Amino acid sequence: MLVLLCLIAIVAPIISPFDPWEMYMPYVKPNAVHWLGTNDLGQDIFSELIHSCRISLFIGIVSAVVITVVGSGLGMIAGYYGGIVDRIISVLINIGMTIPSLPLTIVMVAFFKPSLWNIILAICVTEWTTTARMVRSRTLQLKKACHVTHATLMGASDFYIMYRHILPNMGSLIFAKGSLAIASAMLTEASLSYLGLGSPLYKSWGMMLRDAFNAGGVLNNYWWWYVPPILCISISVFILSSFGHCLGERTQNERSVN
Amino acid sequence: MKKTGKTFLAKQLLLSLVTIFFVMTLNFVLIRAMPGDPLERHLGTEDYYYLERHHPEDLEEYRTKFGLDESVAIQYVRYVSNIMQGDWGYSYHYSADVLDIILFHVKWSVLMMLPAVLISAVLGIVGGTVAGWNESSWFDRITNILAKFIYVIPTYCSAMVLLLIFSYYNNWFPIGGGISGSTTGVSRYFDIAYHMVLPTVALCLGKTSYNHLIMKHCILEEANQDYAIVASSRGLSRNKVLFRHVLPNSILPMIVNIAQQFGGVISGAMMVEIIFNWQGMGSLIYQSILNLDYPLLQGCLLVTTIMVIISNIVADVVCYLIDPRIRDGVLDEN
Repeated sequence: MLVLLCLIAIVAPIISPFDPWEMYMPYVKPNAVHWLGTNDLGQDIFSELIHSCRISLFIGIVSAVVITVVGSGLGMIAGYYGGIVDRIISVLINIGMTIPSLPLTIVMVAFFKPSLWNIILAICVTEWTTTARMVRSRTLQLKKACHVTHATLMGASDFYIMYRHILPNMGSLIFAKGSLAIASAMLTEASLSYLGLGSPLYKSWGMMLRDAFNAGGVLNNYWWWYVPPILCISISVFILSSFGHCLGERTQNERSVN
Repeated sequence: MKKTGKTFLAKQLLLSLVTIFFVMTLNFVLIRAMPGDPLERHLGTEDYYYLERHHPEDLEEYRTKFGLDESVAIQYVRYVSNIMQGDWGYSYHYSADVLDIILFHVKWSVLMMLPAVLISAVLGIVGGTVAGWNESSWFDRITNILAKFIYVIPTYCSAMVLLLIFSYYNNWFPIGGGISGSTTGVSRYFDIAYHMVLPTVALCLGKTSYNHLIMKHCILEEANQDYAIVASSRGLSRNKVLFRHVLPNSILPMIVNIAQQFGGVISGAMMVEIIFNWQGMGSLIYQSILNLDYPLLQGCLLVTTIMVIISNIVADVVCYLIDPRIRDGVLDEN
């Protein structure tokens, strides 16, 4: 399913039957030509849906990659070096976890003007903390493991130890957190665009819902307009988070074997 | 220094203060990091350009009034001391003090969140306990899938669906707002309650499923601990093991979790408030985005943070009081 989702996102312009910005007859019910009908501007909902998948997934994946890299990098440094570095990074993590993330993201996006990269930046700033915290505590455990001690005794550099001996042991943990990060970034993005803070240049599921709600699609009962985005958001987040949880359970098993 | 529970509390308190300062600084920096004149953010874009064109001398007066002509360090000190004294800035859209507006909306937010958090806490704890204690029973299987699916549906999506089913098609509940006009006395309270039903249900759905999953996890974890196995091998009945041994231990994380949900009053209910047109903090944030009301937006961020911090402190204190491991400083967070 995950692969399918990515595939849809990549080939969006080829498989979508219409250009999502092109206008046809408004408020058309689902029929053979427009599979899911059209919206108030006469844009084809099915094509909109496919193109939105692209942008939602793009924001999700890019922010998840940044969150994972930054989060695990900082977490590892904090866990490995300890002392004052650890103190500073831990305090930063705690502060980040205390500030409510949605309002902070909203304020940041509102201040920096909504655009694709600002949204990604705001999501990253608020969500790197959980990854960092988990990686930090795992690094603390691994630091005491035999193979790391051996490597240190053999005179390996700090960077080499972190890269070759600690990082590979956290692979599934990092991937699990990563896929959860994609899910939460997609949710945040949907909320932002629903609030009207999405990038006006791209269509996304949240924005489709916003249009449907504000342009009377919900109250006039044009179900083909608002049901598909809801389903798309829920299902893709469900897939990503169950994928993350499966990986997380595998990590737990690995740990108990150790 | 001996590491006791008291130092733990002191540490948490210090961290909260640091966090509040962090948010204040962030607010301060954001307003100045934006392109353009910071004064524009204080006065509103329209008024700013009007003044610039017609009364440039008034603009200078405002600049002095807001202290924008002084050095950044002095500005920062003044900003912080203003906030401490309850002067949170002036909202040009509402023509009122930011703090007054926020306090009004906080009241309504809390009113909506309180029942939602409490109901979902009770449901989640009961459901999670039953499911966790009878693992792989039919109840566990059904609720597990249901909870996992409901949990990922964004709250505003479920709110929208509820709104459609119960207000639009069936007309059982009002479509939005907090209160109908011209009601007084007892009928007023009933009217508010009547308006609250749908938003509360929408909030409860997500929270209950979350609580359910967490509670189940805690029960499973505690049930496999040595003390629980010893208790059952001593021949205690299943119920006794659950209520005397497993439940008190597994409910601890839940208490922290629920206290944090109180703190999340604002961000949690934001979308629901907007959909149901409830005049709480969420709608306030939404409105201030639409109006580009920056002072108000920053006030909202600060208030949300402070509420989270207060509830975190409450959670810490509660844990300190009921968990002897923290009181004696045995439990190390790392």
